[in-house]
Amino acid sequence: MTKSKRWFAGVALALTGAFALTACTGATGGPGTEAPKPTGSAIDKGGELSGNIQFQTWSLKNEKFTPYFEKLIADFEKENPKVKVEWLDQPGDGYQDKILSQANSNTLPDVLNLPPDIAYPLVSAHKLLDLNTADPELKAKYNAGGWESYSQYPGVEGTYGLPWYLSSDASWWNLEQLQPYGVTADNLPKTVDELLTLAEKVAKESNGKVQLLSSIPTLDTFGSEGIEIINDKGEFVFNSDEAVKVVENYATAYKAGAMPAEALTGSYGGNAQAFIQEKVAFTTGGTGFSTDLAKDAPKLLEHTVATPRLGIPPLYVQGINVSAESKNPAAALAFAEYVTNVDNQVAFSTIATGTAPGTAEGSDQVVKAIASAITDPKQLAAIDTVFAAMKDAKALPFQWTGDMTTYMNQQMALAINGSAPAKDTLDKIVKYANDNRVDQ
Amino acid sequence: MRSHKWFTPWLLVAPAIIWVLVFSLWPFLNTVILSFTNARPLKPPSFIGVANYERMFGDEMFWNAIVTCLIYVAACVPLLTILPLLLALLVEKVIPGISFFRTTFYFPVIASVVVVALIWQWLFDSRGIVNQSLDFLGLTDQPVPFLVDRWLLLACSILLTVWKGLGYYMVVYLAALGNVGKELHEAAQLDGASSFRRFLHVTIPGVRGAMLLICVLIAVSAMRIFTELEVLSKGTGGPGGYDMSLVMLIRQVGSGLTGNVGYASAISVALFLLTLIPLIAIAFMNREKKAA
Repeated sequence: MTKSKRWFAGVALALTGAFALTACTGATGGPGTEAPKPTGSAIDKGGELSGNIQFQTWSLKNEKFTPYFEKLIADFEKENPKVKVEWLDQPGDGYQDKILSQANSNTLPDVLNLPPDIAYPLVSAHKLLDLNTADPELKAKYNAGGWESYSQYPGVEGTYGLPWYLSSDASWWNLEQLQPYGVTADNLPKTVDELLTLAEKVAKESNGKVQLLSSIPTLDTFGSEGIEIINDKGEFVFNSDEAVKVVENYATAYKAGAMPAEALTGSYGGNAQAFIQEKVAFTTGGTGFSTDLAKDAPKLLEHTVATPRLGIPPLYVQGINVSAESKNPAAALAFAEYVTNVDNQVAFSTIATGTAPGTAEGSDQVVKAIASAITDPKQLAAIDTVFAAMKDAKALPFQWTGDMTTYMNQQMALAINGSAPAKDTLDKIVKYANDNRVDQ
Repeated sequence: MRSHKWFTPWLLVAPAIIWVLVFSLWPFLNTVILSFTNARPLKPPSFIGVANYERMFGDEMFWNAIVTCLIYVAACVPLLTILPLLLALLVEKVIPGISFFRTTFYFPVIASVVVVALIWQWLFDSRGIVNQSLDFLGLTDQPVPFLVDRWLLLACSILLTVWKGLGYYMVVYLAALGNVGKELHEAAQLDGASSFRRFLHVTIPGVRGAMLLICVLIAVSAMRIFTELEVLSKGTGGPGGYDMSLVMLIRQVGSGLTGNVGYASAISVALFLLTLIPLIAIAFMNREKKAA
């Protein structure tokens, strides 16, 4: 081989290696395919249903929920003997990626579970069935707020999910840690301002040994303070003076040692974990948090109380959706309605303690059923707290994406540790969110 | 002997060629094409020219990621080129029990990087064993923010990468050292050369090829660093995202149902060009060596 050929071969080999390396880091999405038009017509479920359908849940195939779904499917198949339902379950992590790959390859299950924010990209790509058109009588049967969550997508008419179950959070306090500083169950903070003041006081008096805060401000924080997050035009606008004040108060509390340094990573999971490890004396969590405490820190549970979330509580909505590409839309719609009817939602919420049914009725039945089934007074009190708060709870806008959350956490950490002014940080976050809005 | 048809050799290499075209070349070309579009998942892409590249050059996060990666390369290349060589020299000698040490030094290589990073996360936590030890010894009165300070987080991550890679490159050097003629060492010793001079003038030239290869491998993998920084910073890249690597940035902007695939592709192309630099450098160095 001549010298020039050797050189050419060397460069070719290097390029091939580099191609192989870069191919691994390339973006996963390919050019999208032209989306089919929405069904846009009523579906007749009157005749005898037949055929196979797939039903996909999100991390619900486990000891607790499997018997419920097996019975649910068996009962539906009994009522509709010519229909066969195949139950699929996807793991909690990477659910969005799984949905994306199914949507890209036109293999979305006939019936699936999506919260409003994950549903939106599928709605805009015409991958989900308009349920309001498919059955105009459905609307009256469901919780108005939950129904609205799947009906307010800009530029798209229709409703793309049946509200399945709703949940919210409570505030959890470690009274044993707080008692030396004059804090009792009766004088716990009721607003974010009071929380920050107490956090600063406790941190100073304990010389940083007792900390109350375990997370930096998130969009939830601004929502709970009643700060406008998004305007009527769909633009993010939470860089207001009120929001600046909240961020500055957090920064002051951080400076006083009221928050572990790790909280700057903005990991919500770390928030609850820090409470269980008694690194912090306050956290937010669903009603199931008492179960986690009973399992991981039973002694801590004895000294823990749950109170309503400070300010306006968040609303978490889960829904049942039907694929627009379903080859058996009549059976799929019938099954989606069956999963979300009052009886089945009450039965589900009784097992998934702390969740309320997404139907117009049924909450009272759930409370009664839970009261007779649960003996742990802490958990009962937490459920009462969350159910009482649910009527005032507000959901985050679906336009807020995971990428925006990551960016917000990164920038907010700088404002809290004093490296950047609060106003500049909020302006940056709002600009980033508006520049990357998925609905434009 | 029966003569072969002209296409017989092509048939033999066809599977490899098809593999490269389908799984390496096409994804690469697709990434380049997407970088000129506004592609998002589930939406047909439109051609937007060099807008993604314009955005990239004005994007503070992109430049932060470049700086992080270059610092990573600048720290890892010398450390992981020299330290494994010294380690290999230590365990090269055949003495009783040396296999135990070789295995021990290799142990971090086989441990899962995610598990190791999690353990390091616990070590360097504000209430982790490192901070507790510093406090116990009276060296600090406040926890050192190892995992939430831009430079300390980067240093912890580099240390982890170096610790984990030492054993692997030590084995590469052990193989290379086996090819360095003993007679050269003996001759140098007879000429009165000290251990250090023999190391400089016999050992180093003897393992030069392996050293170059290791440098390139480390530079390329350091440029594409992900897991260590991802786990230690809990996926955030630290306050301000200053410790975010290019791969983390690509993941952040390009993944999920709402990911900006076009922009992520443009950053992927930039990463490709950066990884190409060490590959071309080694090609030039080999060329100069042969010319000499």
